[in-house]
Amino acid sequence: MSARLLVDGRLARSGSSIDVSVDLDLSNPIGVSGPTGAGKTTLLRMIAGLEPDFGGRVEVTLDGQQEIWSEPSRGNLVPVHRRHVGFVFQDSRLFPGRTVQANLDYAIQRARAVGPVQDVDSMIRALKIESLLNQPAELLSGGERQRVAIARTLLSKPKLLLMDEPMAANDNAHRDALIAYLSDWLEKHKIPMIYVSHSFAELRRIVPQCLVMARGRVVAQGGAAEVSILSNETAVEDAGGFFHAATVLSADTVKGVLTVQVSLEETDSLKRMAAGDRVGFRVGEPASDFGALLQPEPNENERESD
Amino acid sequence: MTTSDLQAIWLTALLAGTTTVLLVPLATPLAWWLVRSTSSARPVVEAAVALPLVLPPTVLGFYLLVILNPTAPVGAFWVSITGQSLTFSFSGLVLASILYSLPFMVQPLATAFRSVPQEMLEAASTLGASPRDELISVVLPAARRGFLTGSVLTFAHTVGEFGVVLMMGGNIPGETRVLSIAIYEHVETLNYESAHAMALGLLVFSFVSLWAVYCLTSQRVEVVRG
Amino acid sequence: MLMTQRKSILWSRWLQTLLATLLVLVAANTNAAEARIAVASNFRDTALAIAEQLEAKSPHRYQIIAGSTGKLASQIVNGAPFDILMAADQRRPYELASLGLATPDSVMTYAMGELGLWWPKGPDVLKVEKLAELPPGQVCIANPAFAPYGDAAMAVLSAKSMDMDWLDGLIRVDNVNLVTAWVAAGQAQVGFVARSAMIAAQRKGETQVSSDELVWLEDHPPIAQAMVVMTRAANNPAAAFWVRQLSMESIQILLERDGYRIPQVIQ
Repeated sequence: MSARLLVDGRLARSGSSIDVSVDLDLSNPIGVSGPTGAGKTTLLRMIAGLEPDFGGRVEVTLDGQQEIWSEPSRGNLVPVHRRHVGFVFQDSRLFPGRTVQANLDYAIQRARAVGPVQDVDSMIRALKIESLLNQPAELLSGGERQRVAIARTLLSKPKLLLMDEPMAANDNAHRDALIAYLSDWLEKHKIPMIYVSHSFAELRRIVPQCLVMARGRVVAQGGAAEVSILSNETAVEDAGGFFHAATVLSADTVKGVLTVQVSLEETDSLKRMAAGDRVGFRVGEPASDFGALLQPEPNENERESD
Repeated sequence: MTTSDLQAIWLTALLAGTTTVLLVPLATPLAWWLVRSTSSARPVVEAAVALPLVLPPTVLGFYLLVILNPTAPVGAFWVSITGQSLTFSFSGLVLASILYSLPFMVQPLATAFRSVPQEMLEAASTLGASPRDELISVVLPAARRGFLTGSVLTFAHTVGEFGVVLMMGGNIPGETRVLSIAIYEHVETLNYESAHAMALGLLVFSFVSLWAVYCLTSQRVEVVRG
Repeated sequence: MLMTQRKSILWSRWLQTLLATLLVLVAANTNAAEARIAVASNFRDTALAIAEQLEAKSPHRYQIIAGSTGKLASQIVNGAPFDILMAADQRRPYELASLGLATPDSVMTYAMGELGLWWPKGPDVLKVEKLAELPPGQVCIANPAFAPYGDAAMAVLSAKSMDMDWLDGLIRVDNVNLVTAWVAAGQAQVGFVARSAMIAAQRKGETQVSSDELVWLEDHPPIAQAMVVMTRAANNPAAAFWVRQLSMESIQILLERDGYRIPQVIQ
């Protein structure tokens, strides 16, 4: 079953702007990473139709059917509720003043218009929220809230799943269970997903493919193992550098020489480089996490913080 | 208190009740539109809705008299379908009160709607809720206090209506002789005792209504803090 | 649970009351023998007494709506559902007839009003001329723009060729009843009052008047109070009964008791 997503256009904001042009194969889930303020969340919002000022193109092919969700000069053609995207927000966004059960029912009632909703009980058990059902949403902890939000979104029978840091507030044990359940669910329902996380470790466990965003642009795209990024991106960004994903060509552990290929052609900083220049880089743990600062490195200490 | 005074009190309650009950469904979409619309017509509509706050009621009453009297097109049309005049009738007073009390319903509703977080609406829309569904399933339940405040204010304001009734309702017992008009008539005919009794009742009622509104609004602040 | 139950009981009681009232209203509306009588403010109490008498001897029901003659007439022009107008002048009934709102041959003078000068703490001999010695803002009249008693008072003052500036200083109130109220309250020193209003005020015990404070003016233009039946009431038996009964002796006694003179010939 083929699924594609094309996003092409610009969203100007005061102080920053998002400028993307991607054509994604959604047969497998896709991850989006990048530093804070890179535009990851905004990209998801543009796809969902939550950015009314976005004047670019969004085109999807789901279940073999092509739909144009938005188009330049014609704006948003398909309203949010008709796109049938499931959006797990970073801040959960449960309805306050209602119980967990009522929050789930909200999704279930609307999903019934599309088709029967199944596996409600097994999902509630798997996401460990069965003991919370009668509690008011505002009394839940951050992790509990995220699990309820995930359940609510999955129960809404989405045709495309957009998840924005859905597990950030959960501890490792819950996260493992969540990832396992989500992977099974995606496998079973064959629903395409775009998954935003700043953690490559998390992304690699869920998605085979990744985009890396920085400053409102997609700066790298490829397999999760090849596209890597430093973990203290902001510090290096603040130093005036710019992140680029790179592919390791060879690693000579004896001589201590690493040969990498920076995969972007159009970057200005590359043009300013000459043989013999020192550049800063960091190899993450495991070694496939990699980022390069394509400018003389200002401070060695920066690399220590993690 | 005479039977005609009791009749005036009942009529006032009926007028205020009818106005409030009719204003809820009329003001809800209007307030929602005012909160959501980006149209350039919005400030115009907003100003028009707020007009009764600053306009002397006699001005509103005068124009209603001009528009609704049986020789004017609108008034004549009403007479042709109901056989009764809109001026100097209960139906006319209901219409006038709806216009006169419109801001007292619309503004608390708009405030309540505005305080519903955009985040909740976005969440609802991604769960498949149409804008209409959002209004019914998210906004209205969250705006309960706005409805209560708007209803109390509308009711109380309609009870206190005088200038408009004087202009286009007159003083017909059981039809348009509301409390304020009855008080005015008692003063005019030197029945100070009856005037006192009714005026004091109205004073106490208005105070209790406003007190209730302030209790409601201060409770809302606590909810937000919590 | 208890709260909701109690609430629903209250609610259903309220509904019952509403329904009962609606039924009563409907029943009242189907009773054809009902008439709305619009009366000049000064005639209000008298009209109520007449209504009481007529209701006692007939199945008809009467609603009395009081206001200044001008106001009532303009309300009728704008659609007010009155059946009879008991004006304080003759002009308005004829005007309404000429507009087609009233039956022309139903115009009839039913009472003559009497105008007096009420001047508590006034000079020994009360005379209109002495008013000129008062500073402006002390003399109260009904507004001549729409109150016939005010019109008559103005005519009296003009006949004494009072100074224009002095005339500008007159306190004009909405109707002739209020003149009595203003003088009683000390808001004005002197007032051009209606005999009917003075009698009504004394009957209510709100105003004490000694005879040396009050003089009835002989030379004011006649204040002929006329009535007219609206075209909408042409077939209303209650309205017809009201008109017929006005010339009966028991009603005429009432009129005289309340300070009106009976016109010589009922037209």
